[in-house]
Amino acid sequence: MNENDAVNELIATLRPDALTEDAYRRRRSADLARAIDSPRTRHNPRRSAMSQRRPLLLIAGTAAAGLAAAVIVVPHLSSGNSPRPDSSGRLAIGTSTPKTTASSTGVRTVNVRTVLLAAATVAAKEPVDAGRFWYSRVHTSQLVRVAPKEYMTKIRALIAEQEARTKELKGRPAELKAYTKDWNKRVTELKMARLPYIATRAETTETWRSLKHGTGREVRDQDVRIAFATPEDEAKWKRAGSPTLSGDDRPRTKEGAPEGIVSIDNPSLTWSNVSKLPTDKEGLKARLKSLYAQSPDKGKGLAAYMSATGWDLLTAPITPGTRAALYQVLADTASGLTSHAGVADGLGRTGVSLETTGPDDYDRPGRITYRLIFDDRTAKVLELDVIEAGTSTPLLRQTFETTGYVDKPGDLPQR
Amino acid sequence: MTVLSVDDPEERFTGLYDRHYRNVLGYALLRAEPAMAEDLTSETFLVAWRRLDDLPDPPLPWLLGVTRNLLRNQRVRRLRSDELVARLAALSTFAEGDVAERVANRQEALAVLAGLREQDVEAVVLASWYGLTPEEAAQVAGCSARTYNVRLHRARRRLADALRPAPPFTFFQEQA
Repeated sequence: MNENDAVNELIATLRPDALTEDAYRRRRSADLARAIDSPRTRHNPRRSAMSQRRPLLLIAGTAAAGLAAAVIVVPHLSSGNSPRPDSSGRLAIGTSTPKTTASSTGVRTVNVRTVLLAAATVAAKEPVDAGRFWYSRVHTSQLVRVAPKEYMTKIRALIAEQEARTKELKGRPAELKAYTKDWNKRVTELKMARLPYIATRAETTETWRSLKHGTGREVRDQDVRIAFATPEDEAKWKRAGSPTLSGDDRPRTKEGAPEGIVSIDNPSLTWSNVSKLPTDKEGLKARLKSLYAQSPDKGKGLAAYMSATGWDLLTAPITPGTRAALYQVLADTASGLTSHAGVADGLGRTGVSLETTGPDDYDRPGRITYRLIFDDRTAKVLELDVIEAGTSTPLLRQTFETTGYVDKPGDLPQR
Repeated sequence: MTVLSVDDPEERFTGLYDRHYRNVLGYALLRAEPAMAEDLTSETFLVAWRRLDDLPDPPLPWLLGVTRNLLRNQRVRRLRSDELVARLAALSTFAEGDVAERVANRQEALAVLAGLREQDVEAVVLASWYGLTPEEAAQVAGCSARTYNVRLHRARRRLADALRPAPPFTFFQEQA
């Protein structure tokens, strides 16, 4: 090595790489959005035409109908399953950080369309990958809606009462009908009742899902944790007799196809065939419209369908091309979305959020915020949140720690 | 890249940002406090977006030149070289695997850098961090290529002297 090389190498060690890397990650989204949002001085008629174009419809609040179904899940009366309040197949467990983690510092509002287009660009550059199994490790934290034992005691009493009453009312259809209506109302009230304290149950689920056959493995209920929103909530829980809130709290391994569907609105989409979706914007838009035409629930409208399905697909094993096209479709159709940069997920990773609102269980509009956080460096989903207005504890937080292709159950993705 | 055309300006700009952000910020950090350096770097890329179709190839010297102009417009005081070196020492972190010898060398180099003129420090940094040619570096530094070469040579000479292994201690004893 000559002396110049030695000097160069030495000076190179003084380069503030850690600092610049950190700044790069923090500033990238907002910097890109701010620049791309601003007009270019010369020859760019396309750009200004785009910024003036009104977004197509798209239905804010409904974006997460699929998620809402997941979150508002309550134990099924008729099933013999354990009374876990969070037994939706779409969910897995989580971290012990139930509070909203968007840090107050560094979170900035950014332009939604710009963010979506930037995400499309990033997604398209991600390497194409494939494998026989799709692996995911997901932390799910949910608001505890019922204390399982107390709930089951009450619900069994209601069932016993109904059986007895139904026998008594045999041959008196009008009375039976009135009774049944009242009984349903009481069951609904029980299901909807809130506990006098705020607690979350978190667990972690790993799944290995064959992309060819109906096989795989699922390990649920790892690291089950109950967390209270505040010490006062914990005190109230103790005053209520410290009922068990965790339900099943030991990991359970199930061999065979894991639970869970790709998209509630789209029965024809499967874990195997989503990788064959179109990789160009117009093609994907056309396919989604045709899927919408077949969808069992068209009531919410095309725009809401688009974003709800988009949310579903972003967490599924789609190709980088489809992911890029999907962000472009969303950029064309998204209205009522807001976006922030520098938002932290439940694992402390920062990304860009897309938010929309919808009605709550009582049809009060705008009460529920559905938030998706994605990594602006890979355009992959970090977290999905469902947050009720006026509360800091999400109803549901689903954090995707790792997803990727592997060769067989038990393997972990390489990257 | 089947989805987006290569000509997409947003994609080009994103690529430019991803490739050069750290370099531009590193340069700004030579002159400005971190918060201001980040803001100036954002400004630099905003200018780059507006001028995207006019960017020279390679774009880095041009980007650094824009940063330099912004620093000047902000009336950011040029640091004395000892201040600059103190900042470098504070900003940089050791890569894992640094050995004691290199740490010792680094301290010596910092001491030598502190005795150099600020422009000479900049000259050696531009060459080492970014691999710029003398012509490119001169463009950034706002001087002629000849002047830049003089600065670079002077800085390297002093640093190389400092890095040359000192004779063993016993040698001095015997001489004494």
